[in-house]
Amino acid sequence: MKTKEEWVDKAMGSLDEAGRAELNPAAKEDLLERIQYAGSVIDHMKPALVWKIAAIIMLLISLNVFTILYYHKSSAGSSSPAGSVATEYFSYIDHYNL
Amino acid sequence: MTEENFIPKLKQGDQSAYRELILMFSGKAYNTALGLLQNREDAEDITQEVFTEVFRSVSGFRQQSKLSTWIYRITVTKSLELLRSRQRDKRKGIILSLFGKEDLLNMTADEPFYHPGISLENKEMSAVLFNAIRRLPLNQRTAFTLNKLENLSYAELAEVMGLSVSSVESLLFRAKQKLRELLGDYYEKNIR
Repeated sequence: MKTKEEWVDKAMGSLDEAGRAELNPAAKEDLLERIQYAGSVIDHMKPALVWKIAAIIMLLISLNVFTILYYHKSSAGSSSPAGSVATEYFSYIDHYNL
Repeated sequence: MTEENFIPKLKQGDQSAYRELILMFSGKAYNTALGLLQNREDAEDITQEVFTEVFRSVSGFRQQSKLSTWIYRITVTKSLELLRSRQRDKRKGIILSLFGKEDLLNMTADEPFYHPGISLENKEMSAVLFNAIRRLPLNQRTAFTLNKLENLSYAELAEVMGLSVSSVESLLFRAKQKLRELLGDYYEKNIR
């Protein structure tokens, strides 16, 4: 039966010669993959993120085009400056009967 | 590859150098984080954060210390940040329990931690020691863990922790003293 001191000594020594814990292979692969994508923002963005950003830009362009077309149709012939710009800009629509 | 020609390649963003860096140092970072946090998921998360930080900051690395020292330092900093945030959450839990429960000290027991690198014959005893390590102040915990699990010398510890060698010696002495006291209490309550 160990004395208290012997038991404490043994407990204090239980980490001696401990082997190093290694990162599991899946976590290591994930880390290597992240570093691959962690370069410049433009060159190494994940493809999914690139597509999301492209979709947002397309949506914004579409909204702008829709708004201008709508304004052009509703204010066709108007003498307001914005109406004149829209009329002038989209005059080809009337020309080609679009 | 020596450190002298390793670091310029890292600064240039050489992907193969980063791969080599991870293969060489991920074990040290993970083992350090695991020893401090005593949780595998947390240690994996911290290891990810460490190398992301290394990637971001390597251009500013002035080589005043070794690369391994720098990586240890980042790992310790991030691990301690996580420990401090957990301690704050625990204190909030205690305060909430003041209003909700009569027994103010009704806290769940710590789960035992079994380090994968410990031999089978020492597993149970090391779990008791790790539980005692949790009760050390963070600086003593850091010094003791790095000394025991990563075999860092006093000089290396001093570099990693940004302290003098005599401060490290004092920290380790107090850590061992406190641990012996905690283990003695454990023996009185559970073994005797």
